[in-house]
Amino acid sequence: MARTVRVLLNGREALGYPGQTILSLCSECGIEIPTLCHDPHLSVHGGCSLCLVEVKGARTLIRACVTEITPGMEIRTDTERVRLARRTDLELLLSDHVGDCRPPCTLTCPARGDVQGYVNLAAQGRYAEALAALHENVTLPASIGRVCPAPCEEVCRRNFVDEEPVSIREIKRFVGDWCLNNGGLGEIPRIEENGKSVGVVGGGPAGLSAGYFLRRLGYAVTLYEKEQHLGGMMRYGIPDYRLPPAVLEREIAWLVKHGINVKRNTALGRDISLDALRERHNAVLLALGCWRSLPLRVPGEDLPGVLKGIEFLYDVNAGRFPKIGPRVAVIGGGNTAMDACRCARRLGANEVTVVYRRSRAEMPAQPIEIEEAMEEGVQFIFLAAPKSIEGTGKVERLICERMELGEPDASGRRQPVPTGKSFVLEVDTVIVAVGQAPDLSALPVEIRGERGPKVDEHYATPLPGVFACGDFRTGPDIAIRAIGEGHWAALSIHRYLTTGAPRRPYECDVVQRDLGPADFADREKQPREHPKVLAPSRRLKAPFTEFNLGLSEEQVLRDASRCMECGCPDLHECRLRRYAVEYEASPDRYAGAHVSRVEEANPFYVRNMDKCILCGRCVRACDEIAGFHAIDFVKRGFEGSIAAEYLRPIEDSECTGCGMCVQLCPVGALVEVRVQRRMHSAPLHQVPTHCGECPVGCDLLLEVEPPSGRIVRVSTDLDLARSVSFGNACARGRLAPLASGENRLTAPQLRSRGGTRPVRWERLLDEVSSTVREASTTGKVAILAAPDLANEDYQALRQFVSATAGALVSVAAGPSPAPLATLLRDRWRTRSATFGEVREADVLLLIDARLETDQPVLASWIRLAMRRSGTRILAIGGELGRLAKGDALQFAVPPERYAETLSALQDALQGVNSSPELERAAALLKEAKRLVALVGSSVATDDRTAQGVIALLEAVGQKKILPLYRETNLPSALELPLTPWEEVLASVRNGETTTLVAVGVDPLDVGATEDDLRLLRRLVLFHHRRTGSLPLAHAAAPLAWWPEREGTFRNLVGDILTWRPAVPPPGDAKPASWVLTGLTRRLGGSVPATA
Amino acid sequence: MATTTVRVGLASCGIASGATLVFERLRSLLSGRDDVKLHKVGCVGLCFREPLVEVEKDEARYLYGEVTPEIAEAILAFHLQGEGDVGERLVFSSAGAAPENTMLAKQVRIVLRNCGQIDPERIEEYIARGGYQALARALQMTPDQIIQEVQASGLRGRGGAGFPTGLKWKFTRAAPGDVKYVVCNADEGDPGAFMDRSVLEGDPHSVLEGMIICAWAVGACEGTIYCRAEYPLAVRRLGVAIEQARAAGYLGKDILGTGFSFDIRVKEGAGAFVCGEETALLASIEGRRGMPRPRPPFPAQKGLWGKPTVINNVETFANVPWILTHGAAAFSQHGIGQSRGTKVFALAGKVRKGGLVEVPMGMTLREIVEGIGGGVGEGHTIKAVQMGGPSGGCIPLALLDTPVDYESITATGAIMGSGGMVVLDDTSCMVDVARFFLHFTQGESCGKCPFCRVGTKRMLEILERICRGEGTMEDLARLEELSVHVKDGSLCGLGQTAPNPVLTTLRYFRHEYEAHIRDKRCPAKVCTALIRYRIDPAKCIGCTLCVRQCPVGAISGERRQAHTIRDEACVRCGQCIGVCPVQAISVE
Repeated sequence: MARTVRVLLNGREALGYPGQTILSLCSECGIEIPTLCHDPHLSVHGGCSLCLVEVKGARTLIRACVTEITPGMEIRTDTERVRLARRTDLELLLSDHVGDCRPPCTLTCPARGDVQGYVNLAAQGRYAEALAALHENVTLPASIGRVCPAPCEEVCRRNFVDEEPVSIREIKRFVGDWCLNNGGLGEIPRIEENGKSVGVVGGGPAGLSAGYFLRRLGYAVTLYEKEQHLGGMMRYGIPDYRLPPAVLEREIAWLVKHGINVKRNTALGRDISLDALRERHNAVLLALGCWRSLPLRVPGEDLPGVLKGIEFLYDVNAGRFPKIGPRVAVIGGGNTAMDACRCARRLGANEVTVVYRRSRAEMPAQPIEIEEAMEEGVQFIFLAAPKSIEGTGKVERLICERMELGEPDASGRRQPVPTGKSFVLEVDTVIVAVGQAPDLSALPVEIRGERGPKVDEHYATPLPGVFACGDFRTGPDIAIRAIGEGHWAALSIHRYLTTGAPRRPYECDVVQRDLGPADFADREKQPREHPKVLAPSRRLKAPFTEFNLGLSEEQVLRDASRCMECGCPDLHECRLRRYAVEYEASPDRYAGAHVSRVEEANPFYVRNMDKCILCGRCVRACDEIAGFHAIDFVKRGFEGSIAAEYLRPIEDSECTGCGMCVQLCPVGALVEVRVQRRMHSAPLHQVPTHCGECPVGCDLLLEVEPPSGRIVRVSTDLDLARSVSFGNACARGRLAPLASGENRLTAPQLRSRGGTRPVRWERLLDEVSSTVREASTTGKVAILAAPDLANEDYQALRQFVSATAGALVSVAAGPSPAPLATLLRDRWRTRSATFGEVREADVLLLIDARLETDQPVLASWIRLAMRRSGTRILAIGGELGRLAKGDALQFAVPPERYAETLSALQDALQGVNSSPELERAAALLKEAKRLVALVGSSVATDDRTAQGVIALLEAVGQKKILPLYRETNLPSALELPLTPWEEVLASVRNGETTTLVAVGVDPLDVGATEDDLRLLRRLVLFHHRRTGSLPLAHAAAPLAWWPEREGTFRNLVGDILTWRPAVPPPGDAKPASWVLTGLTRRLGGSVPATA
Repeated sequence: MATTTVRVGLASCGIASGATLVFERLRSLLSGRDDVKLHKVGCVGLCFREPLVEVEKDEARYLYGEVTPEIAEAILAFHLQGEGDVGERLVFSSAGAAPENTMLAKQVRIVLRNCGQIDPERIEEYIARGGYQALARALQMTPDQIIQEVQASGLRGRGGAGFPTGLKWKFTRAAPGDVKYVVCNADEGDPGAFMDRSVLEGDPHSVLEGMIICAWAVGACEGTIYCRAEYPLAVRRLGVAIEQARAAGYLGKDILGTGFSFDIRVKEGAGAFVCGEETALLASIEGRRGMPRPRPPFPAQKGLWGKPTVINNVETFANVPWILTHGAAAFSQHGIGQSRGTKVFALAGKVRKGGLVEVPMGMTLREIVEGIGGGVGEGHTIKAVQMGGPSGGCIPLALLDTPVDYESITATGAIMGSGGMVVLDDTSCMVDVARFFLHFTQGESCGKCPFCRVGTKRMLEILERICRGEGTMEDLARLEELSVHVKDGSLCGLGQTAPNPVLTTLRYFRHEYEAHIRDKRCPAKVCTALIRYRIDPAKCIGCTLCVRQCPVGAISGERRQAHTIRDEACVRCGQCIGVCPVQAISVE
C-alpha cells in the first residue's frame, strides 16, 4: 500500500497509509505513545486511555490506538493537555492499584538500597552478586553495615511475624566482609569517558558516592579532600571500635580505583577557591559535611578542659588522643555524645556522665548505642541542663538545672522546662556535643543560606553548575543518607550536563500501608539471628578494637531467608510504573477507596487482582491467542474485575495454564508461580530456544536473571517470524524450566564399599569405559537411551555402540506411529501435515489423540480454530478434553476397535450399514475441504488401524496426516539399531546382560524393578536428576538438561530445531554427547572431529 | 346519532395512579351501550393530575383529572344524563375555560400527536389518524428523496447528541455493503425521564413507521428496537404493534406490494445505563458485554455485526412519519437556528405541574418552567433547571431566558440530552444535587476506561467529603481538575458528560461549595452532616407528636413540656417537622 495520507504530526508533515492508526504512524516516526491496553497481537480495546493525543478540531482528546489518520489531520502528542491527561490517567490507575512496588525496606533506606535484591542473593550464598547489587546504590557497604542505624529494619515486615526484622545491616556487613576477604569487591568496569569533568569537594560518604556514580556515567572526577585520609565523618567522626579504619579504607580504595582523581589536604577556601573549581570543571559538587560544633552558650564555656564533641572525636580518630581528666561530663543526647562518652571511657576516664535535657525516650541517639554506653559504665543524668561551667583556670564543676518535660515542640519531642532547682557535678573535663552545623565560610554570599548553603530539591545552588549534597546540605544525618544524597546529586548533575536542567530522579512507588500482624498470621515464625558481641569488660581492655563480630555465614543464610519478599515481582516489567515515573505521576494525588479483590494462586500463576488495571489484555490473550475463554470481565464500574466464568475458581474454567495472559499482563496482577527467592534488582535477559518437553518444540524465550543466573520466567516471542508454535506455549513449557534447578545430580559419583563418593569426570569415564570393555568380554552390555536426547547425543551413542561391539541398544519409548509415517512415505510419497495445515483445517479427524496431555499447544490451536472458523472435530478414541465442545463428534472406543470404527466410517461413506452418528460423521468427512488427521501412538499396536486411516482419507480424497507421538525426539532415537526394551530386560533377567548404561532415563521408570537392577554387575546411570535407581548405580553422572545445553532435535513435523543454553548446567553436568564421546574415545572408537 | 368517546389514559403513569380501576368501572357502566365508545389510550402528559379521563362529545373535548371510579361515574352521569357537576375535576376543555387550557395551548404536539388520543393496541386507530400514509408516500419516493426531505426538515437526533438525522441516514446509505440495519434506541435510562416510554406505550406505530421509512431510505433489511426490560408495557405494546403491522402488510416481506422487505424485532436490555450509549447498545444486541468501544468507526460505517447501521432514538423515529406527511417545511417552521421542530421534555422536580410536555425548539426555559409548568411552590424561588439527565448540567435562574435549542443549552454547560428537565428551588443544595447525579453515573460506569471507572469514583468521594463538611479547598481544586480530565479523556458519552453536573454547579454555584468547605454550612439546609434540628422551647406546646414520630427516639420530653432533640441520635430525616402542629422545629 502506498503512503498517501498526509498529516501534520507535532507540526511536521508525515505520510501514512490509509487506515493506519495514529499510534502506528507515531511509532514509525519514533514518537512513543504510552499505552497499557494496546498490543499489536490483540484486538483493539481502547480502554486504558493512556494513548490520548490532541487532534485539531476534536472536542475531546483522541485515542491514538484506534483512530485512523485522515488527510490533513493535525495531531499533537506533546502538549501540556496531553501530558496532564496521561498523568491524571496514571494517577487514577495508581490510586486503585494496591500493593507494594518496592518493599518498605528499600523505600525507607535513604539511599534506596535494593534490600530485597541483595538479601535474597545472600540467602542463596551469592555474595559477590549481592555486593554488586549493593553497589548499585549503597557504596561502602561493609562500613555502612557496621554503623548504619538501619531504618530499613524498623519497617521490615518480619516485625509483624517475629517482632524482629531481618538482620539487613548485618547481612550487608557480611556480604561486604566476605568479598573483602574472598577476592575483592568486584572488577572495575571499563568506563567510557564522556569528556566532561566534575569537581567534588569533600571525601566523605556523600562526595565519594557522588564521585563513584559520576565515574560510572563517564565523567572525569576530581575529589578535593581537606584531610589526609578520605572518609569524612566516617573516618574522623566514628570511633574505630565501631568502624575499623582498615575496612573503610579498603572500600574507599575500591571506589577510587574507578578512576577518581583525589587531591588530599586540599580545603575549599584555603587551598582552592570555588571560582577556580568552576573554571576547571563543568560542574562542582560541594559535599563539605558538618564539622562545626555548636556552642553550649553558657558561662565558662571557654575554660580549658571544655572540649567540642566533634573535634574531640576527630582527635581520637586521628590518633591524637586528647588529654582528659578522670571525671568527664558529656553534654548532649545524640550519636556524637554517645561516641564521645564511650571514647572517654576508652581513654581512661573512670567517671563519665552524660547530661541530657530531656528523658531517655527523647534521646536522638540509637537505643543500642545508649545501651552499650551504659554497659560500658557510662552514667546518665536525664532532665538536666548545664547552666554554667566553673573553675579556676580549668574546669572544676558543672552547674546544672533540673528540667521537666512540657508540651511537644516542632520536632514532636516534649520540650524541657526549667524547674529552678540546680545541682553541681564535680568534673575535670566537659565535652559539649549539642549539635553540629556546616561551615559556610568558604562559600560566596549568593549561595550562603542561614543554616546551610542555598540549595534546591535537585541539589542545585543558585550558582549555575554548583551543587551541594550530604550533611553539608541536610545538617548532621546518618551516613547512608549522605550516600543517597551523593547518588542523586550525581544523577542531577548528569541531567544538568546532558539536558541543561538539574533534576533528581523521580520516584514513584505504590505502597501498601494498611498491613499488620494479622496479615501475616500464616507465616512461620523464624527467630532473628544475633551477632556475636564482646562483653563490655573485654571491650574496654581493647578499647579501639571492633567489638561486634558480626554474623556467621550459617546465620546469614538463615536470616536472609527470612525475607518475605514484599516488593512486586514485576517491578522491572511493570509498564504502569514505568509510565508513572516518566510522567511523574503521584500515587497519592487521588487516593481513595479500593475494592479489595482476593489474591488467588493456582498451580500456574498468582492472580493478584488488587493490582489489576482492567486493561483486558488477559481476557483477549486467552480468547484470541490461547484459544480458550477461561476468564472475562465481571461486575461493573469501580467494582469491575476479571474472573473465571460464574466467579468460580480458575481450576473449573477452560484455563490450561498456558500462561499467555501472564505474559501479556502489563502490571504485576498476573505473575508466574514464583521461583524460590526471586531476585528483585535487575531486568531479565531473554534467551530464545525451543521447548524440550514435547515433540512440538515450541519457540520459547527463557528469561534469565543476570545476577543469579537463573531462569525465572518463560515467555514467547509473538513477533517471531516462522515460529514453530506461532507464539503459543503450554503450561509445561512455561513451568518446567523454572524447576530446572530442582533435585539435580551435580557431580559424577562412583560407588564403592562404604558408599558413593564424588569423582572427577575423567576418573568416572575411565572407570565406566573399563567396565564396559571388561563386560563386553564376559557378558553383554546394554544401553538404554531416553527418547528426548539431542541428535548429537544419538550420533555419539551410535559411535559408542560401535566401539563396544555388540552392545544392545534400547530406547525407552511407548508405541510409536512410525508405521504410519512409513506408509505415508511409501504409499503417498508425502511427509506429514504441517502445523499450519492443522491450524487451517476445517475438519480434524483425531484418532487416539490426547492433545491436552501429550501436545497441549495443538489443543490450543484447534480450540482457537473451532471458535474462530468453526473447525469441526471428529474423534475416535483418545481424550478430547476441552475440545469436546459444541458439535464435536466422538466415538469413544478402545484402541482395539479403532480399525473397526474406521471401516464402519468407510461403509457409512458408501451409505451402507450406517447409524445416524456414523452418517453425520461421514457427512462431515465428505464436506471437509481441508481435512487433517491427527493420529496417536496406539495405532502402532494394530496394523489395520494405520491402513484404515490411509484408506479412509483416500476415500474422501484428502491426504493430510500428522502422526502424534509423545517423546521429544523419537524419530531420531528410532534410527538407532534397536533391540526392544523387553528383550533387553529379559536378557538382564536371565543373566546374559551384566552391564546396563542408562542415558537420560531411569530404568525403574520404564518397567525394570529394583531386583532386576540388582542382578546387574554394573549399572551406569547418566541422568540430569537424582532418580530412583541412583542408590543402585555403580557409577552415576549428571547430564545437562535442555535449557542448559546446545543441541538439535527433530520435532513432530520433521523440522530440525536447535536448543540454546540459557543457563549453565548445575555443577559438573555435561551434555550426553560429551559423555558418550568421552567413553567412545576411551574405548578406542572413532569420534567425529568436532566432538 | 352522534357518538360519545371516552378515553382513559392507561400508560404506566395512569396505571400507577389507579386508572385501571377507573377503566374497569367505566367498562361495566358502558357495557351494552353502542353510543359511547370507551378507549384505552396512552399518556396525555399531565402526569400531575393522573388518572385522566377524556370525554369527546359533539366535537368538543373535556379532560378530567384525578379521576376515581366514583368520579368516573359522575362524569358519565354529567355528560350522558346531564346530571350533577364534575367541573372541579375538569383539567382541559376545548369548549370553555379549564385550568390547564393554557398549559396545553403552549405546546406543539408532533411526537405526541397521537398519545392520549388513540388506543395504542389498535392499528386502525393509528391508521384512522393518518398513520402509515407517510410510509405509503415514502415508498413512492426514492431513498435519496426521503433523505433529502429529512435533511431539509432539520431534524436532529433527539437522544441527546443532536446529530443531524438526515446526514446519519445519508452516511449509512453511502456506506458500502449489502446488509444494513436500523436500530431504535429505546433504552431510556435517565432517572425520571419518560419521553420515550410514553411514545412507545401511547403510539408505538409511529416509531415502527419511522423505522420502516428509514430502512427504505438507507437500504436496510432488518430492524431492532432495543428496549429496556423495565418497560414491560412498552415491550408488550411494541409486540402487538409489530404483529398488527405485519398482518396489515406494513412490515415483513414485500411491504405494500413494493417488493421491499423489512422486519423488526424487539430486544430487551437488562438495565445497564451505559447500554443507552450506541456502541454499548450494539454490543449488547450482539450478546456481548455492554461496554462501549471507541469511535470511529461510527455505526453508520460499522455498526451491528460490523454492518452499516442507523441508530436513532424513539423520539427521532416518531418525528419521521409526521415530516413525510406534512413536509419538511411544516416541520422546520418550528424552532430556531440549527434546532428545528419540537422537543419533548419530562418536567419534574420542584415544579408545580410536572409531566410530559412537547414544545417548539427555541421556547425559553422560563416559558416552559413557569408558563407551562406553573413555576415552583408558594413561597419558594427557582434556583436552577437541571437539564439533560444525570449527565446534564444546572442552568441558574439568571439564565432562565435561554432558548431551548442545542447550541444555547450547550453554551450554558448543560446539554439538551434526551429531555430530562428537573426544576430546583431554594430548598435544593447544589453540591448535593451534583453529588446525587454523579452518584448515579458513577454507579453506572461500565469500568472500561480509568477516567470514568476511577475518576468518577474519586470525584464522588470528594463531593461526599464536601457534603460531610470534611472537604478542603484543595479538594475543590482537585475536583475541578479531575472533572476536566474525565470529560476530556473518557471513552464514551457517559464519562465525557458525567462531570457536567459538577462543572456547571461549580461554575454557577461555587459559593455553595465554599460555604460547605469554609463555613461547614449547607446554605439550603440539605446536607445532613451540616445541619441540626432544633425545637424552639418557646413555641413547643409539648404535644409529643414528634416524640412519637421520630424513628430513632432522638426526641424526648414530657407532655406539655418543651421537647428536646438529642443531636447525636438524630438522623435528620425531617419527619418531626412534618408533624409539628406549631412549627416549633427548625433546621439550622
